[in-house]
Amino acid sequence: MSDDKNGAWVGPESTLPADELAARERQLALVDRVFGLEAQLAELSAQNSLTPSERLRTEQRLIEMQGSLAWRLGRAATAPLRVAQRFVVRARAR
Amino acid sequence: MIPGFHEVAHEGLDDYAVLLQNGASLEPSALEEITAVLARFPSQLLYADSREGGELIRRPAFSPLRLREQDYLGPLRVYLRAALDLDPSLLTEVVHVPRVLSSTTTATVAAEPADPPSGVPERRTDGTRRVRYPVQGEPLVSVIIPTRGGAATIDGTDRVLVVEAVRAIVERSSYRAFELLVVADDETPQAVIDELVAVGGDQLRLIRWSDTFNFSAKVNRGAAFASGEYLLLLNDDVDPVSPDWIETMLGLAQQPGVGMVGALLLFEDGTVQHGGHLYRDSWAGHIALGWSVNRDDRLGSMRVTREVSGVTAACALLTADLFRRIGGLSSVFASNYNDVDLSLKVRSTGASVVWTPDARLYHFESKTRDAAVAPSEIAALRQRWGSRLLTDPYWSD
Repeated sequence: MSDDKNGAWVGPESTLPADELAARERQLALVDRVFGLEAQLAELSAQNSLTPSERLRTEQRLIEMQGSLAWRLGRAATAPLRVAQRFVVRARAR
Repeated sequence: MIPGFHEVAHEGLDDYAVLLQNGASLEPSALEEITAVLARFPSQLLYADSREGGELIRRPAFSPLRLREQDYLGPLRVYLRAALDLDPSLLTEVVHVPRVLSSTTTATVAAEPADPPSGVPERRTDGTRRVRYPVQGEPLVSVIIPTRGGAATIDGTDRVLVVEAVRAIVERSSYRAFELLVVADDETPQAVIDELVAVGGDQLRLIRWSDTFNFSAKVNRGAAFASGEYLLLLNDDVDPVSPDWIETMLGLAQQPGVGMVGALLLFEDGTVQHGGHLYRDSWAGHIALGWSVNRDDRLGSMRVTREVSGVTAACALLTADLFRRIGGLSSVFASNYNDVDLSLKVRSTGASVVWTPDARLYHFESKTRDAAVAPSEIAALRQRWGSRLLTDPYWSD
């Protein structure tokens, strides 16, 4: 057993021609990139890519969130701001 | 008709049979909700959450392999009449309503699932049903193990993790058609390499990794050398408990519609490290993390093979063809979430990800491991899969 001068291991190493290995790894990276872009695209139309069960579950989560104490307190706390905003919008529209 | 169920009279759902467990009752608005959901999503089968003995029972999205081992559908099932006599695990249009539509004073009587179209049903030692899927043929499995030759003290004994992992696979795995692709950092100690060569024998292939650390790229390097029909991604700090772990995972991976298969991973102390992935609130974690191996949820999810949102790459099996078609592990995720991304890529092809308690391994990851998550990794994950990380269709607790 002996280390080479760089400290890297030596042994019965499997190898591929450098260009072939690079091509295989590049192919994986390119396909992954396409998948990533397609996934991002699907995110922009997420409603269309969800299954019926997932859509129902997401809708249910929204209902539960809107019924939560934190949501209602938040709505109550920001109510004056929303009323004021309505006045500002109406005033500008005149 | 399912034993123990009766049909409920209704109007406006002529093509459907509303079946209710004897002794159960429908919530007041249940039929209206069912009608509304079926109008939006015409289905062959609809089921819903329920309240049993006062306890809320949430159910997973349609899980056909799980259904072959466990009737989890609950006390209310609405079948398209034309689908009433079909094996429910073979239906393609099934919707789960995540709202309580029925109640019972007692637990639901689970029906014995029909004999599966493939696989052999049998009883596990705890009385639950297992469907064993014999491996078709003897395909070569390429086990890819990235390593830098680290050591740890396990059960009071110092061990070189990758050497013991390879030894366990070679000496204790009953499936023999495999090759071991160990992707070793340049810095891996020479003594570890020498021992690997001695232990792995003809089935070992050593592959060098000289670049900066990137877990995904290391696994992809191994895949570039693989000649197997299947790839088994494996961490170097695992130790198989079940001798038939490879054929259990392989048999499942050969089932139609299955894309990737994961295993039950245990910490050194025997508690659960991985019971499948859980994606919720824009975050990803492990189901049952830290649970006693005997603990379970209300449905008994830890005792059955079931569909999940994802599985860890610490032990995951898929075809080499699928791995290549989806671009392998993304090197965008150098350390974390590469398996979450991989799982979601698999599912985006329409294939399912399955977890099984019948392939069991120790995973000597520290319970207190606090993996440093690069902000870029979580940002990239959310950018790719944001809506898929909000709620988990397969786990509700």
